[in-house]
Amino acid sequence: MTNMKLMWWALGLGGLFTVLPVTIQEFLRPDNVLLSLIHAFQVNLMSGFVFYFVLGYALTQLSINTAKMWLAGVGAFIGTVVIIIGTESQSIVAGHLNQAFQANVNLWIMLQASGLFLIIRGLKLTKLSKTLKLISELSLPIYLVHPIFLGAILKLHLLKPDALHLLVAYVLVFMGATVFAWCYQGILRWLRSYFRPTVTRQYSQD
Amino acid sequence: MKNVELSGRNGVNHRVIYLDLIRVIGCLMVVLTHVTAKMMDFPVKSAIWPLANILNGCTRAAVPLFLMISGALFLNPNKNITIQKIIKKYVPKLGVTLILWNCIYALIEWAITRNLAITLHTLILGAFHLWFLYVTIGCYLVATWLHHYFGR
Repeated sequence: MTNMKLMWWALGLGGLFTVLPVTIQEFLRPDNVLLSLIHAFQVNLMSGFVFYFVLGYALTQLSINTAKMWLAGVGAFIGTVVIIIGTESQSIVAGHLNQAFQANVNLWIMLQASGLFLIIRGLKLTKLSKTLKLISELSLPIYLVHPIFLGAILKLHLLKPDALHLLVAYVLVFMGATVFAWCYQGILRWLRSYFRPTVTRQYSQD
Repeated sequence: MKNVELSGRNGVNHRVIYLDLIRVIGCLMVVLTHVTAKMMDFPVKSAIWPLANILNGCTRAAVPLFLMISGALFLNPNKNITIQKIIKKYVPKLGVTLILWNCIYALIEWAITRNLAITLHTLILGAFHLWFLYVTIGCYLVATWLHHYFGR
């Protein structure tokens, strides 16, 4: 990030995706299409997510040692504690869930995310089990489909306010989404096989 | 540091083990986030609320982790990424996925509610969690320029 052009580019992005939408939305009528698009696509959060995108790359370039892993762990712990305590205290005051501390683009979630990223990177794993490899490959379809299974659980009134129901709901949603994702991925692979040759995969370690 | 992450050279798709593990953890976390979020709809003073809040708070990094993985791979100067490749390959792939899943969720919405306005809203803007695809497409487009600068 020492490149001056890159710095101006980053500032430009911040202006385009954060300052501009936030500024112009004050001048738009509530029923304005542009305003609804800004809200719907969370345009003002875009620069924050681009920040995570760049942060991911930056963290791959850091040299990592045990001390840095501990530091990352402490950061992640502090971030997590602040999210939990902040959400609880704000919600008690409001009398309902207050999500101020749960916004994706805030310091606490950034600490949690970058801490986890660095700790896992620092483990210097040489191999991964077949099950974990499979879940990794299915992560996008699992993400895409899991609300359907969660919706079904809610529709069937299986989510009751106790720890056992929470655990059962989680396992059912995850397992259901994984099985669906496996089938979905299989169908996609079958379709793609008509359009391009198979890609050989090899594992590497930095 | 020797960086051989996802070089994409010689037709070989190198995978990075720790990024795969982060992806797995992100995947486990995001499902837990959404399940516990439903638990947090119960009254704040209910017995389950503090546990749901703790689990939810521990898993908030899920989506940022997914974006960080994408950044780690797409901004890597060793990876041969061009504007053409992003626009012709990665963005259309995500775009098709987005359209497909918008349609799936709109159909489900229609089956449940039979409300045309809600169905059209879901069809155009997508289900609540699909914002991640819009953001990822945006990041891919930004990556075309950032990759150029990181490569220098």
